[in-house]
Amino acid sequence: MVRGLYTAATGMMVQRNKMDVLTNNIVNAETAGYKKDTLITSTFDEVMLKRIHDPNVSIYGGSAVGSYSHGTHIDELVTNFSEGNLEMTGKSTDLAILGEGFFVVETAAGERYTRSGSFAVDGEGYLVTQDGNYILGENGRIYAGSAEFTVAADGTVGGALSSGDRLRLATFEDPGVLRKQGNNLYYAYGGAPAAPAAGAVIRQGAQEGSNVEIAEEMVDMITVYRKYEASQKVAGMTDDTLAMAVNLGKVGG
Amino acid sequence: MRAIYSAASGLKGQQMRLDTAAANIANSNTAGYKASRVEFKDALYTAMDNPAGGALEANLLAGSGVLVGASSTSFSSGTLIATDSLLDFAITGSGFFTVQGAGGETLYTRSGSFAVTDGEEGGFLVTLQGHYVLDRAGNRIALPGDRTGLSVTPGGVLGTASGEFAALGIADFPNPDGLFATGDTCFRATEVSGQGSEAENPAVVQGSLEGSNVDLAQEMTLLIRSQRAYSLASRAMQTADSMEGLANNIR
Repeated sequence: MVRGLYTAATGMMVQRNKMDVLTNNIVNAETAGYKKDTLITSTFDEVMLKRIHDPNVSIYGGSAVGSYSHGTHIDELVTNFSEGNLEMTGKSTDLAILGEGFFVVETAAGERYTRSGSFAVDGEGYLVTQDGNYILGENGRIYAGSAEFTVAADGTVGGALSSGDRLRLATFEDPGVLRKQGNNLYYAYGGAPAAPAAGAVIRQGAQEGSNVEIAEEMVDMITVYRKYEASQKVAGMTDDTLAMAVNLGKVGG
Repeated sequence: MRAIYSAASGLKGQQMRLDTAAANIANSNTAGYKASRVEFKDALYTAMDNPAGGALEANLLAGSGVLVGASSTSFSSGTLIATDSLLDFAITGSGFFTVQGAGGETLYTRSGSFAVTDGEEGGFLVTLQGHYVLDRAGNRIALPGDRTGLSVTPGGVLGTASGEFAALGIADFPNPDGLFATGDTCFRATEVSGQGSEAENPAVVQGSLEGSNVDLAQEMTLLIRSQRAYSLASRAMQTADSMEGLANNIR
C-alpha cells in the first residue's frame, strides 16, 4: 500500500536480525575458540519509478522519475577469524593453535573443523572433543593412551602410550566457505578442500579465548536499538499520515 | 525474537560456572578434592532468512546462544600437607585408593585420611565416612591387634614392626577425567574413564594428606568473569525486550 510503511518494516527486521547475531556474540564471549560474527546488510535492488497520469505524456513511455529502493535486507554473515587471547590452564588435554588452522574432527556427518581445543581422552585412549567426536591426525584417529601425553609445537603427539601420530591442521584459502554448526564446529560448505596448515604452532596446556570485543558489541547494541527505534518512528508516522488520509472525508468532523 | 532466548542461555551458562567456582572455593580445604571446570560451546545455528540459493549457501545462519558443553574435573595433584598422623596416607604419584561404598560398590578416592573401626582383634581400616579400604584383592584390610610401628612402603604395602600384613589397593585409570564424582571425595569408574588397573608407581607416603588442587586465584577470577558475563547477557536481554516493546507500540 504505502511504500514507506514496508520500507520501514524492512529496516526493523534487519535490525532485529542484527540484534540476534550480536546477542549470540555477547553470550559466547566466554566460549573457548569462538569467533565473532558480523551481519552484512544491503539494499534491495533499485527499481525505476515512472510517472503516470501525466496529461502531457501517453501511458506508454512515461518519463522516469528516478530510482527507488524498497528497503534493506540481510546479505551475509561474516565470521571474523582473528585470534583470541591465549589462557594458560595447565591441563594436558587443552590445546591451542597459534596462527591459522583448525583441528579436524570426525563426526557422524563427516569431517568438521574447530578452533576450540578443550579435548579429553576417552575410555579407550583416543583423543576426543567434549562431545565425544574423535580428533584426526595424519593417520586417522589420534591415540593418546592416557591423559599423560605431550603435544609438540608441530602437532606430534608423544607420550609413553601414544601412537606418535601428528595432529592434522586444516586451513582454507577462503575462510568464507566455513559455516558454523554449533558445538564449536565448522562445516566447509560446498565440500571445499582443506589444505594443510603451515607455520601454525600448537600449545599444550592453553586455551584460546573468544575474539569477541565486548565494548564493540555493546556499542553496536546501542546503535541497533536506536536504528530500530528510528524505523519504528517512521512506521508510526507513516501510519499517522495514512490515518489523516483515511479521515479526510469523515462526515460530522 | 531469538535474542531473548540467546541471552537466557547466557544467563544459565554463567550461573552454572558461578556455581562450580563457588563449590571449588568451598572445598579448597578438603583433602583430596579435585577442582571441576565448566566448558562452553555455542548452540545450534539456524537460518535467519531464505534467499534464493538457500540460507546455507548465503551463510545466513544465526546462533541460538551458548550451552554448557561439559563439566570436566582436573586431576592434577594437590600440595602435600603434613599431619604426622600414622593413619593419614597420600599418593604422590598417580592412582586412587580403593574403598568400598555403602552399597558394596567399589569407589576410588585420593583422600587418605583413614581410621580404624573397633573390632575384636584390631579392627578394619576405614575412611572417615566409614567406607572400608580395600587391598589389592578387593578385600577389607584387617589391622593386627598390635599396631606399633605402622608403616607403608612407596608401593602401598602396609606393615608393622612384626612384618607386612596387607597391600593397599591402588588403581590407575586410562582416563581419570571420566571418573564420576559421587560425593565424600569419592569417585566411581565409568565407561569413559576405563577400567581401573593396578597402579605401577603410586609413591605412597604416610603422615601426610593431599590437599585440594583448587587454585583460589583462578576461581576468584572466574567468579568475576562469570558475574560480568551474566550482567552483559542480562543487558542484552533488556535491550531485546525494549525492542520488542517498540514493535508493540508502533501504533
